[in-house]
Amino acid sequence: MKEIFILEDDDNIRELIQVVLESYQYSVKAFHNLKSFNHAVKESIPDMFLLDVMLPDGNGLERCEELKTSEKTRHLPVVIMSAHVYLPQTSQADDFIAKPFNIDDLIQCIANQF
Amino acid sequence: MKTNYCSSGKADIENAPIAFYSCNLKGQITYFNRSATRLWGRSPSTDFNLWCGALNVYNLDGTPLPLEEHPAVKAIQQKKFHQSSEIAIERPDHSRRIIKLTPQPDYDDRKELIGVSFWLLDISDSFQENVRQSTLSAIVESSDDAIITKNLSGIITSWNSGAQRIFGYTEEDMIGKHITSIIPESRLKEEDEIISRLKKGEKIDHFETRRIDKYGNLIPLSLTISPVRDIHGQIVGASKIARDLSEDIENQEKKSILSAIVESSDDAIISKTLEGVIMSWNRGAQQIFGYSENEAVGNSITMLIPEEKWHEETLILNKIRKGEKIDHFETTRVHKNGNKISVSITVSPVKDKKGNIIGASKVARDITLRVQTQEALERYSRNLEILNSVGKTISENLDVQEILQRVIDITQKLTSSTIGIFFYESKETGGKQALCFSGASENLLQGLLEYDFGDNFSWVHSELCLTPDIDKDPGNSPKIYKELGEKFGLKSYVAVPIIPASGKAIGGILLASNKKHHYNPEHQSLLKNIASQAASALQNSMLYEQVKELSEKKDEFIALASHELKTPLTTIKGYLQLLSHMNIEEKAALFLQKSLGQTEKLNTLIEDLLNMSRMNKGQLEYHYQIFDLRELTQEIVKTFEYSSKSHSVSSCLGEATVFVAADPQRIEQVIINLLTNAVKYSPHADKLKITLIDQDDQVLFKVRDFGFGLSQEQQEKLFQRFYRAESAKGINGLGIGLYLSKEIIHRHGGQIGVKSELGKGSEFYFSLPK
Repeated sequence: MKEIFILEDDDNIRELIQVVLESYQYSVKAFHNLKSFNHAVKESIPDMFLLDVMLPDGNGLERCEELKTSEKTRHLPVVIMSAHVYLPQTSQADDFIAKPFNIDDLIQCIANQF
Repeated sequence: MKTNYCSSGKADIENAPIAFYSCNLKGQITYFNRSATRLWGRSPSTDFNLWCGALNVYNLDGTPLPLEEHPAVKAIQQKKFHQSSEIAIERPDHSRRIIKLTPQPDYDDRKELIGVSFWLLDISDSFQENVRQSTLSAIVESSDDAIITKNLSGIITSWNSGAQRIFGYTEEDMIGKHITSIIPESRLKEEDEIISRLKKGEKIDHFETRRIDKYGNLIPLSLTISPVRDIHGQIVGASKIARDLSEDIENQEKKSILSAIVESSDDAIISKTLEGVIMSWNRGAQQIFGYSENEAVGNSITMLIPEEKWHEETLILNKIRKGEKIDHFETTRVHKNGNKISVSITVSPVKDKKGNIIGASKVARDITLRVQTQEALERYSRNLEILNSVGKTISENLDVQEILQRVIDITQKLTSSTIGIFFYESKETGGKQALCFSGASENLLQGLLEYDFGDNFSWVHSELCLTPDIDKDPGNSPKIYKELGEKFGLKSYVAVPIIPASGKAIGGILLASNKKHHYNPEHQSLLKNIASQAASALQNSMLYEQVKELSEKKDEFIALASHELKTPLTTIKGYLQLLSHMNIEEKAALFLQKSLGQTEKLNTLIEDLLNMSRMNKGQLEYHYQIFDLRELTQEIVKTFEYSSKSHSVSSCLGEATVFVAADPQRIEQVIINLLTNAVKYSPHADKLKITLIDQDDQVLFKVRDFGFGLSQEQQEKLFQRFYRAESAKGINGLGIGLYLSKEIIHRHGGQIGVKSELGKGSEFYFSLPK
């Protein structure tokens, strides 16, 4: 079972994604801010990251860059979620999904990373 | 020895009143009578005096007559007799007489010549008379005046060449004619007057009158008429001397006209000698140079010339000596009070009757006013140009700091101020002043920067305020002037507020100079002009700043809002989709679909809003790709049909691929927009038609609906920003779709438009260039 770390500050969306992913047999750990996310990453690492951009204590894109530089995590796929329609070209993220998304698209996107 | 005469005649000769004497061939005087003694004034010794009894003999011209040339000698020698000659003899009292002598031969009985005798006629008086006569004649003939004599009946008895010259008649014409032939009818009475006075023996002197000449011209004359008497003293006629006054009168008139001209002229008319001594000085010269005639005449012309121009006088005189004229020479001269005057001079040589240059006449016109006006005009025109470019500069510029700096720099320069300060209060500085300096020197600027100007400019009045001299009336001047004056040595100040249309002063310009009374009315008007332009520019800048701020805020808000809006939308859509995956009955599924459809709509609306704000900022990014438009269209249609239950789409896309270079996402937006509109505006129809045509130079995409159609007016307004064709009720939307679509298509270099007929439907199209 693949494990996915989700970083999303909106409770409803976070819950929704968790429900959806779990219904597709993924193990999910969801975090609502960078602080708790970083804490968890120190302890353990998942198979994939799904990050929102706008966070109360930081920026998902920046975190993505960090993940992609760090020894520990750079081999892991990162997918960015955002209300914006596109990803900056310089981003190291593996994929991008725009909010509001189709559930099917989300699942497909995640499946593609593995 | 008295011999040789008939005795009867001897006594006659002796007592004859005419002098007689004889001498022999040797010249010895053999006889002389009493008259001879009287004539000679002596009795000559018959033995010694030869040929003549006079003491001395002379020629008529006064030169001594040698005895050998005495007529007696000549007569004897040449044996020529009876020919008279005239000589002058001198008496013992040294008086001289002119005598005429005629030699007569003396023969003896044998008819041989034994001597010569003379009758001596004393013609002294008549000789004198002759001389006098000829002299008089000469005078009369050579006179320029007319000399005419007439008898008491008025008949002309003589007429000189002067008379001929004046009257035109010759001597021949006039002698024998009446004097009235030269008297004009109106003056005939004069002649009677003249005659009556003459008869009384009166002389008429310098009588001015007119006579007529041969050609009928009236000649002005001055007459002098004297009576002519015969030897008895009777008045037998008159002599008339007439002087032609015409030239005199003409000259007189000319002179008075010239005089009047010279005196009435406003120009200085001065004459001077070749050494530069002033000879004449008119009223105009007094007005222009300040010296009276007394003060000027006799002095050197150099008193009018400033030292640095003295060389000009030398140049002028040199030209004059050569007979050349100097025309309209512009230079400077000096008034009695020391002030310089700008003048335009014309100098001409003055010649005497013979043509020699004896001096120069100078006409000087005061052109100070003209020069000043010219300079003022040039300055004004220059200032106007500068003001123009200032105006242009500051109105083009919206940056406050730049406006302030440029304005103060130009103002300081234009007014030749020592320093210029621009005080400006703006919201940016939080009400505190922004100061901008312009100054003549680094030190000054440094000093200004260090000086504490305080926080407000309450000393700026509501209009231009001038302090010409800080030292006078220091009590009334703002404190700041005094301090500036002490620190920087500034003496005169001018301050003008910057008041825009809003009415409240937003700042002020202060100019100061280290010269007193520096700021003249021209400076002040310049300053007012610049202040008003600066006020407008600053107000514009302020407004621009405000607008920008608002716009930014709005955009920020929209970005934020759209982000916020998408959040709950994500949740709604997600759960609705989850629901639709669950096992639910038909009706529920239908309801779910409707709801999901609306979430899509919501999303589109939010996207549009976001895009529009991004578009404003120019942030809309386009990612160009080469893709198959046919394929894209097919995908869109599929999705569209899925969500739109009311309409079916018939596509005519052709068989081949249609490659375009464009941003697929944006094009997708456009197509979806067009389709959505088509559905919206044909609720009673059930189909749409899409056509894709691959042409040579472009790709054409068309969407046809069979709905309301659009009027001409609506068509024109359609692609405007917030326009919504109001033909259907209850149609939602922001109305920005077509506007955005237009922007996108134009960005791609394509065209977008509509063909429509009210009631029949519309066909929207766009093209993309290849």
